[in-house]
Amino acid sequence: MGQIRTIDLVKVLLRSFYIQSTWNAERLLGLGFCFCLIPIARRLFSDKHALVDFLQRHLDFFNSHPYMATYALGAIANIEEQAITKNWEDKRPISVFKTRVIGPLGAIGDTLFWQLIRPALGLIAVVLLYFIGIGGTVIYFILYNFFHLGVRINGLFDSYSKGFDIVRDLSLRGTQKYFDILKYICASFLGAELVIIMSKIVHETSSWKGLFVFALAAMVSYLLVRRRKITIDLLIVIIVCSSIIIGMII
Amino acid sequence: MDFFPEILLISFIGGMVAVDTASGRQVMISQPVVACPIIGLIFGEPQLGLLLGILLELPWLINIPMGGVHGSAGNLGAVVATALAIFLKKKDMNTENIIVIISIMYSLAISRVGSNLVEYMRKANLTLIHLADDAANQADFKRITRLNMIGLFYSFILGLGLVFVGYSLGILILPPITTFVHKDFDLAFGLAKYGLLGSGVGAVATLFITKKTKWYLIIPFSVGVLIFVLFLIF
Repeated sequence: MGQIRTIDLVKVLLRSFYIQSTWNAERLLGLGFCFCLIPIARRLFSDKHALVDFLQRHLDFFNSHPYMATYALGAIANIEEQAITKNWEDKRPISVFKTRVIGPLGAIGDTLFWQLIRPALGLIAVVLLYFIGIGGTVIYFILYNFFHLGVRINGLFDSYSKGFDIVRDLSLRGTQKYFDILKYICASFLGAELVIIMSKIVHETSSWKGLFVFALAAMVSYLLVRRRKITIDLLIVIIVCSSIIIGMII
Repeated sequence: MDFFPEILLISFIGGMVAVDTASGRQVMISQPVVACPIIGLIFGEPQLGLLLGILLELPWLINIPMGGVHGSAGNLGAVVATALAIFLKKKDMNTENIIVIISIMYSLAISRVGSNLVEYMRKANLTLIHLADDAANQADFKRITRLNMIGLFYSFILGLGLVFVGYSLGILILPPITTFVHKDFDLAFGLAKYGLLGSGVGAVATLFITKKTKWYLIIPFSVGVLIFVLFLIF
């Protein structure tokens, strides 16, 4: 048995990019989670029986936002190491810990990335593509991955140093105020970008028709999506067909 | 570029996009703002790639993969739409506006099919997890690694196959449809571009706008409009 080294954590980090490869309805990220922890298993266990126990334990049900999963991976590396050095007989706390972090990791990751960062940067990218072309793509890619890789790397090393205590940092209630601030910022961005897009449309079409269709489509889509009455492909079909008809009439 | 290498290359990009969308890395090369301009650059139509990226980025962003929910495969649809728009433009089938809108409408069907295929792939992944149980009982690291990578391969094949079939079918189906639309409709199809952009903005707004945040949108918007109007006047 050896101590976990930084190189092992780096290997876990690299593997974490493929944690979602075998997503399935039975154990969700179970296989991916076990796959990510193989460098830790290699370092910690020499006894085959303990190794089999370790692999079975981590093949079990697990779910998380893919970027946030490193928080669980780092903490589990720490806890498994503790279990060996302190000679734990009962390994159930490890499984309990995993079950406990599933909710917060999913909720924080989904809100932070899928509901805030990705759409906000998507909006910025659209405006940048309009004005500076392919440079907008590069800026989007760098900005997004700055946040993405930051969370992955920080998650792994921070949670490895904290072990069980990482649970305190992963409280949804604690992070909610930051999400609210981000929402205010995103709403302001949206307000400013609406003006930029609208001025670009007026400039492009030299008439108010394009602006009228844009504004109408934005309002109708906002109302329909907010009330969850429509799928996005159906929304696109309706908006495109209506826009063509409006274009023929006016 | 010859037709066969072209179709292989676009299918390979489809495979990479499928992997990045939900299975591996997720560095967002799959997002239309990245994938479409890259396809445009590769196939010699950068401006068309940028336009498709702008139009297709926003609407799909509200398909949030929370829990196990998986929406339409919009990113794969965007790849097919861009490749077909470039193909139709190079063949000079119609005006750019008409080509873009017809390609996008066709790509919606591809996205829907892709979504169903993802569900089948996830069922296939169940077999992998049961094989992994056997591998764990034998403490076989290499097999567990291999099984996880097979999941990634499934995803790649799904994207590659869908884009291959979608693009090939599109090449057969879309030229007669595109040439059928009269060029006089160019202005109407041009307006549909703005409709599509508006629908994306409206959809994304649902993620940010609440009772608490609405003033944070209204104030910058009003100030911006005021500046714009003053700019127009003076």
